[in-house]
Amino acid sequence: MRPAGRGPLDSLYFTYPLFEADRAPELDGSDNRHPVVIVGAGPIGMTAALVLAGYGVRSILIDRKNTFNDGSRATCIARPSMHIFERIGAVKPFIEKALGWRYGRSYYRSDQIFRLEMPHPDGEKYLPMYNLQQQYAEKFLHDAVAASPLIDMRWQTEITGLTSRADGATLDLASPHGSYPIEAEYVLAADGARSAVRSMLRLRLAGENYEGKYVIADVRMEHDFPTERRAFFEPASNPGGTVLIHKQPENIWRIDYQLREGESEEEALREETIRARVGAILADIGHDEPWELEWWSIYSANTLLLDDYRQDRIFFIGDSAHIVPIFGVRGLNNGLADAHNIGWKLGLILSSGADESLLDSYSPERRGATLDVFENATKSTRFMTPPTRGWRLARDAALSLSLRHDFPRGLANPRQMQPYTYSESPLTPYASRDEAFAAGPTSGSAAPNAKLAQTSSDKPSYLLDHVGLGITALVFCDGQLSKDQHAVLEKLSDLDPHFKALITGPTEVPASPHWLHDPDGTIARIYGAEAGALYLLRPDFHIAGRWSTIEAQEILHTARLCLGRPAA
Amino acid sequence: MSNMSFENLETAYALLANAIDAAGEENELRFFARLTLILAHELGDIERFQKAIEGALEDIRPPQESHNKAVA
Repeated sequence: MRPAGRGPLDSLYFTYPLFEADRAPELDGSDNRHPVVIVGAGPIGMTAALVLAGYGVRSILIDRKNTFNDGSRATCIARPSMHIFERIGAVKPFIEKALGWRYGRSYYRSDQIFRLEMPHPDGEKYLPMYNLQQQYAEKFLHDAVAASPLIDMRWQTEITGLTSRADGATLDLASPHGSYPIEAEYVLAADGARSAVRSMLRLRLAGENYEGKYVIADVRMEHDFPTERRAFFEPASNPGGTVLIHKQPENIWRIDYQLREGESEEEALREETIRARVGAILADIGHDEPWELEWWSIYSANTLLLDDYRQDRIFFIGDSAHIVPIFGVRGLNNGLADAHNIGWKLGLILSSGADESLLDSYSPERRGATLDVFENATKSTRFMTPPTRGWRLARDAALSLSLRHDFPRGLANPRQMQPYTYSESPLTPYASRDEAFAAGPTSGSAAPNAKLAQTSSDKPSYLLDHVGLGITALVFCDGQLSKDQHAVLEKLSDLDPHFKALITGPTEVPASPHWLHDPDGTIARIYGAEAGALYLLRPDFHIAGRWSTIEAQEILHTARLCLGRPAA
Repeated sequence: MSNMSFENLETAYALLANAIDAAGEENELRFFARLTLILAHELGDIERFQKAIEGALEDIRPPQESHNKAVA
């Protein structure tokens, strides 16, 4: 919502483009069969289309609106999401515009009780978190979508009917130029929390609704404070409620505050109420200069998800599949991981003839990630918004003890987004090989990055810059590949047209195309690897498996699973 | 000082919150008094128990006068 006298898109600082609806070629008899139709051009749908385009796969992307979502919404972008944006060629404007951060503060009444410090290992390319209003994220992704000849973006196009079959789906689409049916081999439903695709298939989200409601408001002001997450428990400005403050680009500050018990939603959303409540919060943090109200909305914490993210060849990605509380910033970030996960799998199927069984891993992997998010988000939600008297008393006791004691302070940790470990995925069959390693990332986890030794005056480069679109092997050796290493790399190369072998060690291996010099043993230390070890990385930077010595059969079997190429 | 892990502290926090709800509002004080005596007995160290009592009393404001007046 926006202040009286301003239209829904009259922003103080952002010009919303208005997209025309082009006449669909199907209305004039063009072939209406398409490999992939993506419903919903929010950040998740656009990212999925761009991942597919990276594999040379065409898609049709439809959205019923004629512009981007309004307001800051999902403002926090986590490090793994920046890697996804890099992978789809869209990261540059994000880095230029977004505000990176890694610190936070929690206060009880007027005292600071917790200092949040998110880990930022030396080898990482991106900061743990970036703040950016959602409409910028959508704009940057849309610029990449518009530049791709493989993505057919259709604004003002709504799905009005859907028939799902084992081999595809028929979608009825309505546009200002007329209605037409379209045949899709695969459908990605990225149409958000109120997904039309989900209701047409009569599927329901299951889980819990929490009591606490939050108003989220954007204000513009000159306010001198670094980009950090600030959480206020029981502040004088909002007794009985919690307040969060985030800095965003363009001098826009995002204020989230909890409604008081018994405060009605209708009353809370009135402009005068918003101005009074936000004004009190700003006065409390010492801002006595003028400020302008930009936009506001309301939000309540839920943990809801689908039992299966798939029906036939229709896949749910993002909020259509799961709704999570905001306190761990996992709504957008979890959805982007969905888009990347389904994107590379479908990309391999439609571009290199991978077996459809590869898709069976999508729902278990991503549902597992959401359940993991729920576990953390439930803890942070209980702390931010205690659901019962017992939880409130325990929370208040922990907060007041935190004034003088260190031990309860961790309870105020917002448990920000960590990538999920696919250790029980069908694509991670040899997780038991982790036992041979004393350190390093476990099977199924996200690969840590490492800064590469600089060869000359080059820009710094990083290990994950070299991960390919198929299987990537990270091979540790000293001066020479062993016979076994050499043989398994040959076989992997025969199996996968995208295969990349990254060979690393302190001493150069002659005639190695992807040689990553590791003079100080930095990569070896991060990966807990000695000469002879091999890691297999998936296109989404997760570790498919690791072996301290070459087990050719297991390595090839894992690669076959990830590539959808079961042994003949 | 104890060497309780953070995971165990979290579990203790959740056990406490759920136990307060299970006791119900009218039995809350009885529950806390009983719990405290059990913990004192389990701790078996009067000096540490006294320190814990003092720690729990810190930052707790004395009863407000207006409340006493209302009772009178």
